[in-house]
Amino acid sequence: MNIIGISAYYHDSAAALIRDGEIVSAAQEERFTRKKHDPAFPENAIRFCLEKNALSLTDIDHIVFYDKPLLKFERLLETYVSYAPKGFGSFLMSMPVWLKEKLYLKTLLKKELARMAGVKTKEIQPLLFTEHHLAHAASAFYPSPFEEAAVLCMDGVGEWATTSVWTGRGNCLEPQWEINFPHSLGLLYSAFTYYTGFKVNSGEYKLMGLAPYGEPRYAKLILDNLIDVKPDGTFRLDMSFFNYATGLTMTNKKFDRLFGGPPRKAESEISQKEMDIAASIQKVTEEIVLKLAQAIHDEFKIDYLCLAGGVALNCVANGELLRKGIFKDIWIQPAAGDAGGAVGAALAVWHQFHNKPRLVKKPDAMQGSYLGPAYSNDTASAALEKLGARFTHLPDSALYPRVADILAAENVVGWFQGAMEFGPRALGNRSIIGDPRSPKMQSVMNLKIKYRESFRPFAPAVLADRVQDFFELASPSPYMLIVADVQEAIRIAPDDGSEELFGVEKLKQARSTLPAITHVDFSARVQTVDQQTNPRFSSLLSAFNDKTGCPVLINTSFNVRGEPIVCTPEDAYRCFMRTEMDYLVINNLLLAKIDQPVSKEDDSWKEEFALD
Amino acid sequence: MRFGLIMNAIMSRLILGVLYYLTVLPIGLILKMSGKDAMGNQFDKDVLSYRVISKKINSDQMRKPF
Repeated sequence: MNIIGISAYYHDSAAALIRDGEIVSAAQEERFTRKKHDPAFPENAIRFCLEKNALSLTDIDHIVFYDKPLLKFERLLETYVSYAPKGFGSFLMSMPVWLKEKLYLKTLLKKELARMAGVKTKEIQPLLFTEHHLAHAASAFYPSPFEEAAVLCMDGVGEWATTSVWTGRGNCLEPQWEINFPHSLGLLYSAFTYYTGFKVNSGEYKLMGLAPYGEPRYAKLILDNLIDVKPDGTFRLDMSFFNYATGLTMTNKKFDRLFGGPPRKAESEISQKEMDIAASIQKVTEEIVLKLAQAIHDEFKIDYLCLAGGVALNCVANGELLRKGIFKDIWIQPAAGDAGGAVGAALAVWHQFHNKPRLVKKPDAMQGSYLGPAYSNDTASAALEKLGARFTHLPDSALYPRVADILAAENVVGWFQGAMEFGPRALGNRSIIGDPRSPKMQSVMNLKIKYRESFRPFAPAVLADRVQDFFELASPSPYMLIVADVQEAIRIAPDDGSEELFGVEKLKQARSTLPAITHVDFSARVQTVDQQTNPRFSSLLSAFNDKTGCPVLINTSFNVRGEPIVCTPEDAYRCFMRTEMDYLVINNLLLAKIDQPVSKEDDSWKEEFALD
Repeated sequence: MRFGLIMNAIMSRLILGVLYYLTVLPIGLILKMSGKDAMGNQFDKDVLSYRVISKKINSDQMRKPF
């Protein structure tokens, strides 16, 4: 049985294909259209899922959408009723879209699908719809390695739920309790993302990255004024400080007064205040997540926890949760945001609608999240020849040592291998990699390759069996969703006086023998790599270790700021030529920048990607 | 064409305005006067938890967009 799950029309559209309960393909639409967080109908992603598996739309048994549009509309109306006369402006903005399109989403989806398949609308099979948090919960529990687990979903909002708690056993996933809109941990975090001058729905990462530079001096202010948290972690927000329920911004004047000024202007200088605010909201978020987790453990007496929803991408909070040891182990869906809802919705149809049994897989059923398009050496070389690129073909035995040499000489390498990752992280198949021991790598990669803010740290990829030599992390973190501290042994004590450095100044001081991946608080967002899940990346790490004694590489996503991660060899070559990247490796093909013909392109491409 | 677009913008605003002030606002005011707090706008010192018990899932409901 073939089931396609679709996530679309809000942010981060995606499609996933489940065959007889197995996740076979999944991709985000943004990778094909090259528009970050593209909310459009995921035509390209669906087409990829079909073509990869030699299917046509008429071979699909079920097509399922990841939320219930009419319940969402009901929530919208109830919100306007509750807050009237506030919200008229927002009502004028949102209603036309709903009345023209979203209210008829079922028809709209069918029309799009019929157009794709070249058939009449009535020939498209009936669509199915899961609730938004069911899609998240299913994406967290069904692929997890646990027979029995509690599930915690936290995001901005779906229909009503913003936080939901579930229990899963076998193929059965039962909803227990929830917290409803407008009280939302995701929207609270986004409100601070907005207030500190970053983009909502994409800048949350930056806020999290900024937190270690600050002190949580606003945490009490937040807890005393904005939010009432109960002992079980459930909460309500004081909506008189927020504007998102009825307005076009996240926060309001009352919020500004509480925090002593208007929101920071985008791209203006980041001050200590923003850093302190980032540290404060991060602390509050962690407190709430820990309280929720403790309450869930006390109530259901289950040893394992699965997480999904955008808040589960907060890898600092995840790291805290893991270290607290409330649960024996936790598993986080790598596509925890809305894209992952496509996988979850499809799995919910298989296990719930059809009541099919669930086979627990180890290490999990996401296959490293390598579920996207792959390109053979032949396809890639044909594409590169067309672009006039110059490359050499190296067999595996020669490739790994050669790339290890290149990396050890402080070159930055684009590493493009096999199937593209599903979810927001590049996990070694669409990555830019470098030597983490190099003191200059962080600023080189931030400013010359990614064209992004210099305060943002990079993540390490490490051979799974060597992780404890470098990081205080006892369990695998294959999806880069856990932050852990670097081991004491590799830390460097700050020089005299550097303790007094403030904010981004702190960056100038190397914190460990792997300075490029060690954040100012000695933390790192770790990806563990094993031979079974990603043999090619693992072989490269081994080769680098053989040469240098260091089984760690910097791993950052293959894109520039504001650009979706590259999908095809053409995307990779374009990105390689536009940046100061030194080498590009596509499967077995090696390209050196100095061998390439001079690019005729000027800098105008930078306009193509809106700053994120 | 341009005239049509302008007329469309005016008409849709007019219709939405009437809809808002004749239905959304009065219902909201009535609810407010009757003391209903559907959105949970007030903090409640007396309760131990703000949780809402979830509805059981009926998988047949997946056929419906609501």
